[in-house]
Amino acid sequence: MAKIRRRIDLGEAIVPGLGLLFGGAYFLQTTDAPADALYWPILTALVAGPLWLAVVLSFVWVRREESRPRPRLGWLWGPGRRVSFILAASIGYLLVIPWLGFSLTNFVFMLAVFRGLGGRKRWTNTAVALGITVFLHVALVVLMKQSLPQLELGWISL
Amino acid sequence: MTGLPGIEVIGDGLSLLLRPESLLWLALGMLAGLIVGGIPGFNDTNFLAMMLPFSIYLGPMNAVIFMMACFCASQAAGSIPAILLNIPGTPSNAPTCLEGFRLTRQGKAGQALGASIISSTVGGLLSALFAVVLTPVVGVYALSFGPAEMFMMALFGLTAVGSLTGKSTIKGLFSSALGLFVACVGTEFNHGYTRAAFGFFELFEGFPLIPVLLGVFGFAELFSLVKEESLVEEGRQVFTGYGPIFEGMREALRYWGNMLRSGLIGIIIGLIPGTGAAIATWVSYGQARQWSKEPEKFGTGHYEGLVASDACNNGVPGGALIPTVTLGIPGSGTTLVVMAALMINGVTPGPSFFSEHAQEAYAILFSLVLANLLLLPLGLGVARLAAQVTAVPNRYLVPIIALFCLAGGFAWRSMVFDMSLVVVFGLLGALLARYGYSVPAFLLALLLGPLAERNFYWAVEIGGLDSFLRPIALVILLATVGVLILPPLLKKMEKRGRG
Repeated sequence: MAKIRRRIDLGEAIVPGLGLLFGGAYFLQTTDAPADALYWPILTALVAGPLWLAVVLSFVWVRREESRPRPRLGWLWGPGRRVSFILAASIGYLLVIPWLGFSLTNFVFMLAVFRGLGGRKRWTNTAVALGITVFLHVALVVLMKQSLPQLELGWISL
Repeated sequence: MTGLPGIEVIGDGLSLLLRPESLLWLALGMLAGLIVGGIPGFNDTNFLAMMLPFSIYLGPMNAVIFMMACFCASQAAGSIPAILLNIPGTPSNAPTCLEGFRLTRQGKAGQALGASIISSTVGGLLSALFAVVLTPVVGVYALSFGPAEMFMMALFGLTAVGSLTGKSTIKGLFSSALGLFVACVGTEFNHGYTRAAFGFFELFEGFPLIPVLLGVFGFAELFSLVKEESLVEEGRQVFTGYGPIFEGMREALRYWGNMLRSGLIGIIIGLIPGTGAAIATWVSYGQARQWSKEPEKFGTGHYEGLVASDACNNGVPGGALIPTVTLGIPGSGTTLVVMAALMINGVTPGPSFFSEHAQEAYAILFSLVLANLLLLPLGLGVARLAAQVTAVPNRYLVPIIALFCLAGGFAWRSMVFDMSLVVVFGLLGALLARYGYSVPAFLLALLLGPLAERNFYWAVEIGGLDSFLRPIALVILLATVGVLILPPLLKKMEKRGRG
């Protein structure tokens, strides 16, 4: 009988890995907690632990023919690295919004992403970005009075 | 003991509702609900709380009619962004995303919207009629749910959704456990100790639900949308005309049994104070999958799942209204605001409400029936307009969805920090979905975690471990075990049968 070769899809390790990291950080942060406050988290960890082990074992001991063709994280990049682009643009948005204000950041973010995702029509991009920016400004800032970060320009707040 | 109101009182209540003034507030409430429900991150509870000061000028009747109409319409409208953009308009629309958005990707946005409208209408009507007929007698039974029963209910929901929605039962249950663990972050209710806020004061109350929900559903979807040119998969038709909407309605009506059962689940869970539609829709979705002849189709764009979610979602308002008016115990956040509107107008809901204000009480209940009847024509008009979004190229749609998710995340607590949570949980949601974990189970656990913890403590404090052996708690526990055992057992039996 042919020996079954086993291989591990490293991508499968991400979620259990994150779970383990979170659990470790959680209990490290709560070392000074009163015992009563930790009953429920410990109970939850006792339930999660065996399930975590079962998940890990399920991909460590998976049969070769059932596993993915190659362990790689190509999906995270996507064609033309679009996935990483949208992720980077969102992080950029979060970093810039306290300085540029909600409306201006929205406008710049949309123009950049339209362009980055292949929108070549400059005027269409600008018109759509402006329309959405005005809509969000009116809806959230003017009508719903949300206290979003704003750029004060003296006579106008964006 | 006070008897049930006579037929004349019921007629008086109806005529009170049919005054032009009441009808105007009903229509305005529907319109406001359709708009508020359609905007992700904003919910009817927040909107109605903002409207509360104005209810003094409207008077108790008009204020409550406006609020109930808004409640019904927003529950239904929340499905529109869920179906078209994978962004749940309200937390209770999250299961709608699973099936509705898949249908949109297959070029069936119109059908999905049609199925959603008819399911919402049927679930809502059933719930409204149930409320009209049984409000005076049923509400009192909701009081028999103590902490042990509430804990068991949470356990049942987590087990059902976890075991049924993951790629495998183990991964599904692990998703539930992970969600429960993440829900342990924040100030604990017993001693006020802040557990693992990681140095962020924004996490003192735990992870906020709305940004997390917008992240794992809306933002996570961007990572897959960005790889394609259009929302509708290549070769599939973009939605045009009313034809597909009616086709979707016909498809949904094929599952009439599921529709009625889901509406009833919504009513029953709505009846239990402190639960709400967000829990009800997941329970209903899980049940629909368990009873389905085609469970493998769930999550791939299946009408049965969509029907279960939307019929149940609109079944909740009627159920939630019953304990509010009969016992003075609001069944949900929105009914809490409705109760507040009555109280600031000098009307106190409670056991005496039906004897002292029977005419007004019936007018409020009938407003629920009328609102659900109006939902069909109004929903058709809104769906016809909204579905045009599927024709927009992804390069425009992706940043717009990203902005709506980020702005919706902010709107909940007015914190820029919550915008970063949308991105972080977006990435986590994409990872969970990619590797076959259950996103619904993770979310439900996050939602039910604090409720389960609180009720567990209370149950143990009050009656010790014996309180979990009370008849209702025991029945729910048995149902939980059944949910774990039944699916593999049925699969085995089916295999044997086929063999």
